[in-house]
Amino acid sequence: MNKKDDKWLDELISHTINTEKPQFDAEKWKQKYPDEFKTLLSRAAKAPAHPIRWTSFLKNPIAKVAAAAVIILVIGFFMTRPAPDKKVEIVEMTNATKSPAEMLTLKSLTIAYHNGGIEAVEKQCDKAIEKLGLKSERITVQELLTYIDGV
Amino acid sequence: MAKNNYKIYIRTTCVFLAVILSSSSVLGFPPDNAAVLYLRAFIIYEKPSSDFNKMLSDLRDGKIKPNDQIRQYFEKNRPVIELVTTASQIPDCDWGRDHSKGFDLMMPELATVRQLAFMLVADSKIYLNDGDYKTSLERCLTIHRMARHIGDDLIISNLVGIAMNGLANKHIKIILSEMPADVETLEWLKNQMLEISAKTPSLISAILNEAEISAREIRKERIDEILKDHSQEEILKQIPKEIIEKIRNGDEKYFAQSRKYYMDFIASVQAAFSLPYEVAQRELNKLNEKITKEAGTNPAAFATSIMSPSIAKLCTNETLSKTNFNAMNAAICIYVVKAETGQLPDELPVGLPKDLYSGKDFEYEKTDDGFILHCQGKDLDKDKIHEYKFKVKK
Repeated sequence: MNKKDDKWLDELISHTINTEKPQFDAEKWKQKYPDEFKTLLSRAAKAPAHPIRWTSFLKNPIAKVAAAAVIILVIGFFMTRPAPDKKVEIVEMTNATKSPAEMLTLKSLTIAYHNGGIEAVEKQCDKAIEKLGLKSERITVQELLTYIDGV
Repeated sequence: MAKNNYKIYIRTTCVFLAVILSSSSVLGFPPDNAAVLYLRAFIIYEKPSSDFNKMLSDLRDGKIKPNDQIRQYFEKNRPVIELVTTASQIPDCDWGRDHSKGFDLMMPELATVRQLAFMLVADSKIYLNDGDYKTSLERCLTIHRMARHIGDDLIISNLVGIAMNGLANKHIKIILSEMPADVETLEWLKNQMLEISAKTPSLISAILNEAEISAREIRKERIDEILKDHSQEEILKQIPKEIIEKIRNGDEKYFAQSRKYYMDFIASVQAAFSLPYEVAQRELNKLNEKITKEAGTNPAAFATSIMSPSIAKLCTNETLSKTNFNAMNAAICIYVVKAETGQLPDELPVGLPKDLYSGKDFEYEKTDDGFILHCQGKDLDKDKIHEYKFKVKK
């Protein structure tokens, strides 16, 4: 995704959840949560005095081979994974914020078609049904009589 | 005096007949509008839980056989299927779509009708499993009829209808591959399918209906919304800023020109749709290129470039759907020959429906387990020659 897309998505998300970018103020946090701050300090004190030295670890030839294998596997994993379809992603992001009725307007379905063809239209219909949660409400005569009685 | 009595007699008879006729139309079933029954079916339809839905999906895909839980569910929903079947046989269906809402027009029925179609496929599988092939086929024909009711209006509803036809044809093909030779059922199916395929909704009517909505949307009050539309970003990026400004500040004369440009485009599309597939594709692609090019220089072309979907692709979708129907109808005729003579014909019988990509007969090939119908023309959107494989029960 390019910067423009990022910006558009940021706008969409901020419209949806109506929040500003969170900023962490460490000093304020320290003052507000003194107990948690102490716990954090005590955990830091328990940390090993001599952290693992990677340079000496990698002097071992077996470790070198293992590290290389891990790197190759990680690169391979990311290369073989298909990149997510940007258009479908956008449609799904937009749908997350819409009501089923909005998802089933001519405009919304036409946009889905432009982005992903008939499959996207069908997917949008399924999503709307999922959100609608159609369930028959059967009414008994007894319930009806109760309503008539005005209870 | 006698004359007066005669008049009273006639008047009384007329009033009596009027009362009888009006009361029979009030109490009559089924109603004239299929949508009424579909809506009743939606109301009483019991939506399966997500786990059970997965089970139904596996049944549709042939991964599992119908079990007691599935049978019970369909027994409970029997009235839904009866209502839908009756509705599908009513000629007219008016969903009450409010075209005056423009692109905000709501079409919730598209989603629910699809759900009912999936239900019908699963029910069809139960009958197939029980060896009741005719009822199994009838369920698929109901889907075809529903597709006609859903797809006879706008482009999107037409596409959903096409997808439902595809679903029904896929399952009819499976039933044909499993059913024993039965001339009577096959002849019945052939006639039903011919009737259904003759009434499939027309895409060009849907395009014209939607064009009316689009033309009404080309006005000053809507322009800011169109220019802000993220889904049109790709097109907007290609248009110079000064043209965008002209569009934004356009007066009534500008919008009248834009509407005329759009309607001229639609008239050209309509003309192209009457041409053979390959020529139509060439014409529609040329039209598309022309609009894309002119949108960068001519402000009046802007609305058309935004509102015209990929018409060449839509035309291919319709050709594919109609060719699917033709292949299915041709295959049923071949199954009839097999049922009558005990063997598949060596050559394609004369006068069968054609491959609409080329306008020629399908190429027929006998295989070890059935036969294949090959198209002779290419699907120019997918760059592919379609073929249809049919299996025959030994």
